[in-house]
Amino acid sequence: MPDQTANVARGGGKRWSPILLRGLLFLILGLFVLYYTLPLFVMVVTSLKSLPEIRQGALLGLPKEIVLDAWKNAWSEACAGVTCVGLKPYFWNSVVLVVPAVIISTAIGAINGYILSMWQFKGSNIIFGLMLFGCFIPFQAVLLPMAITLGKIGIAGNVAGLVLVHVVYGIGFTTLFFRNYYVSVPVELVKAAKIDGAGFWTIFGPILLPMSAPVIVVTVIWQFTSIWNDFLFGVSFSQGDNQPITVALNNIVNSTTGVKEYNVDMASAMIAAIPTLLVYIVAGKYFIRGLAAGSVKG
Amino acid sequence: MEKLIARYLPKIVVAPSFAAVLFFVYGFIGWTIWVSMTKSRILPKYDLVGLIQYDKLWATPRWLVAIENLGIFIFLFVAIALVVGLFLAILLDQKVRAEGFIRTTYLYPMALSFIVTGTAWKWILNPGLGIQKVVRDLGFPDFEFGWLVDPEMALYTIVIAGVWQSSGFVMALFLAGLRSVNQEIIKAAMVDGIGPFRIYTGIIIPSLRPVFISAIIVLVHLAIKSFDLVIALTSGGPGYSTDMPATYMYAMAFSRGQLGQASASATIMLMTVCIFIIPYLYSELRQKNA
Amino acid sequence: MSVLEAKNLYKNFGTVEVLKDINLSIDEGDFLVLVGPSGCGKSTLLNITAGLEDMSAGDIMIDDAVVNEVPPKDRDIAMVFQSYALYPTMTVEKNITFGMKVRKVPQALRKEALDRVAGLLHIDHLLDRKPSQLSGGQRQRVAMGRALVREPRIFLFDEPLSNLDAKLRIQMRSEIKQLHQRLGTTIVYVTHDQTEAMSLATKIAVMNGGVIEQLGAPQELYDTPNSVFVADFIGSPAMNFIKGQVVDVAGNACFVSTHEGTEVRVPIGHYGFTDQPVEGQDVILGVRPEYITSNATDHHGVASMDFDLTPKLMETTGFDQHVLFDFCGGEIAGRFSSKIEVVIDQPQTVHIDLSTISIFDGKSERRI
Repeated sequence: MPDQTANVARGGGKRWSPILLRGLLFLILGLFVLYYTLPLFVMVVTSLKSLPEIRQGALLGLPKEIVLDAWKNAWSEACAGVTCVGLKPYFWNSVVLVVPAVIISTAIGAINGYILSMWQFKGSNIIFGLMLFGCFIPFQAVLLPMAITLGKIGIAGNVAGLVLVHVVYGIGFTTLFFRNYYVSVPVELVKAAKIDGAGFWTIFGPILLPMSAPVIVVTVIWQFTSIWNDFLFGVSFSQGDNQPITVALNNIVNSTTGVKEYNVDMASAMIAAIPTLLVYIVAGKYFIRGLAAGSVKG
Repeated sequence: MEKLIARYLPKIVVAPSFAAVLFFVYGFIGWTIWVSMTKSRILPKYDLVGLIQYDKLWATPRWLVAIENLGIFIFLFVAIALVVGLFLAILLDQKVRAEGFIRTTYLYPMALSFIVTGTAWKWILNPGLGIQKVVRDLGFPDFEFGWLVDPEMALYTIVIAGVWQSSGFVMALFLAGLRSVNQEIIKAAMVDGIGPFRIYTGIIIPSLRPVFISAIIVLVHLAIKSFDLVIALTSGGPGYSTDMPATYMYAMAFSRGQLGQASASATIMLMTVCIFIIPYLYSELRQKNA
Repeated sequence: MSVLEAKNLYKNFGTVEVLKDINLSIDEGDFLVLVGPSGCGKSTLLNITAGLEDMSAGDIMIDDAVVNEVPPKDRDIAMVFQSYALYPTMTVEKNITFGMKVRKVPQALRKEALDRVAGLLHIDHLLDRKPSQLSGGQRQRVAMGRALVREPRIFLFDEPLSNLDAKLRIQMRSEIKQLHQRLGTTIVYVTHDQTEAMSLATKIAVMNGGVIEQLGAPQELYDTPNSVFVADFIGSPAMNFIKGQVVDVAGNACFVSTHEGTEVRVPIGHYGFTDQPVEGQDVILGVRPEYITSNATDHHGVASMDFDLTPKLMETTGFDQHVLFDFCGGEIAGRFSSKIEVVIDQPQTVHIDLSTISIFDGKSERRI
């Protein structure tokens, strides 16, 4: 696939030494690898150092002795203000929040995308446009009425409220992903199914859904990372014990009481980052492929 | 009857989500705009009083700082992320060995929460034990790198962390774009004896226009919404030197009890996004219909 | 009783008229080919027949019953698509039996129908494969299998061969023809390829700009095309057209074409006008290249003429050669035996058989 462009560069190497040029290329790429990995490296090594060792400096140095106290501390003891329960309960809050929110918003997106591509009707493009616009609004514009509404329904401050919020504001993106995917499915397939006698649900269930694996992966990863990583909704609509992990992490890090424990901060940040990092490492390839294809096409 | 249901089934099924979007997006936006024209403080009031909240907003120094910060941040963040992203994409497109590994390391920051990114960079950039100390220990005792605590420079630390988090994603977009360029055009140019530099500047990069637009939209959108990163890295400080409209709005809404000010600032954020998004969505949807 | 009939059918997309007053009917066992250039409305007509698109006005009737409101699945039709439209996640077997499953046909009958069709199309060994593991020709067979199991009243084919390479296309073409002859089914077939139309059809409808230009048997279209469009579209290489006038309409009629002072007169007294021309009427004379030959002695009758013409281009096909001459300010092509030696720029006696000419009105371009 990239052969020709590769040759472009090779052709240009005639005046320079091709080896030199290649060397320079790898040098630059390598420097950027350092730039991108350094923060992660610093986080990991800091989280494994003892506090005295950190105070001596050597930000980039490997720990002289690996100490896991900071991780233990971050998981179950670290203090945010006056509560000292670590990240554990908040981690589970996020899990309990993310799982239903991802499943529900993906399912709704799949059905919406199916309708807005295969069953277009007069005005369906306007509906799609209005949903799409919903993805792009700054959520500050809906923050206050949402807080009031959640209060009125009686799910303010708890996980159910956050699930609702994430589903509602996730519909735009999930619908977009599925619609764009189904638009590229040949119309003839649906025609053939209609002639075979399949109806609305039979076309969706046995025919389209089994071929939707790539878009389901993209949507689930997208929703998982954006809901897990969300801070704004979490900090605005949840209180106390019900806060998601990002809010708890921020509370721990910005807690001003006591000694500043950098190793605990870094361990906490790692704990908050691990689920999304894992998802990215395991399935990120498919995600980028799908997402990039969508945005290149426009 | 059955036939009637079959005919309207798609509309019936899509209706609840559409209703939800109408209520939770457009209804709420309407509410926010409405309240921005009232005297609401701790509790919302619904008597319209015109644009006094906006007059007040534009007379508030903290808001002016936030807007100026946003302008600088958008410009630097978008420009640097684009340049770095495109540069890396072109380099990676040279049939590099271990491309998969390199790409993964460039990209993983986008999987992180801005809170995590902010926490990490806050530690790296802290003057006491961070980079400043590292360089001083290397034998430059006079080295100064205290941007994080310098009201003049703190904003740029947000740019650094933001670019770190997002440029890999921009790289991925450009890389996909580069690989979808019609290879026959490149072959034709090479046969015509056009050099590699000219092929990139004259043929390939101009053909990436849609990718530029997508990337700019995503980045501007991220920048305007930027809230988490500021909170985690500087909390808007020192003082309110790194306040952004998003943090201003949050402060007014949830700690100052100034719902009118919060709504007015949210409305201005929304308008700013609209300036970029509406033409984009309009052209996108038009294209797809044609 | 006709199996399928379209009556005064119209289709508009906004202000664009895609189909205008379409009327046609076919009988049991007919193989109707809708042929025309892209955008002529042939696929739209097929989709309307299938019930996949709504008409703007008019009726579709199957076995004399109006089916305008009947959904595709209840029209007793089956369709084969250009892209085959196989369900990508299902095996060949499931692809073929999916329709029966949806219609709740009992398992035993499904199996029986599957075996019958798989045998007929020689795809028995492919039943467990997914479409992605099949070659183009195999996919084509599976798509036909899916249609055949239904044993429908009418088969609809939408350019089923255009995604195949040239050789396979000809092979599948003859298989479709054989299937039709063997099963005696009624078929409506859309293509843009006139050769395919000629070789398959019992009836051809040539479409252009949303109207049927001519409906008839293949030979009829070839011999007596209704219009310049049909004459040009059917037959390869295309018919030669020469502009001129008709003179002496009362006596022994003659076609006259004048170019730069040179006058060519062609006797057309034998031609059976359907519309008597007036003296001096502008007309277009159409002669198929097959009737422009080198063989001066091969007189089919009195209606023939010899010319001395200069060849300017020559293409050989192996069996014969197509030779292009300047003629009356235009060009005409002839088909010469490959045994004849043709030298570019060296004048040559050319024999034109006039018994099979077509004459069209110069303005309306309709046959007269």
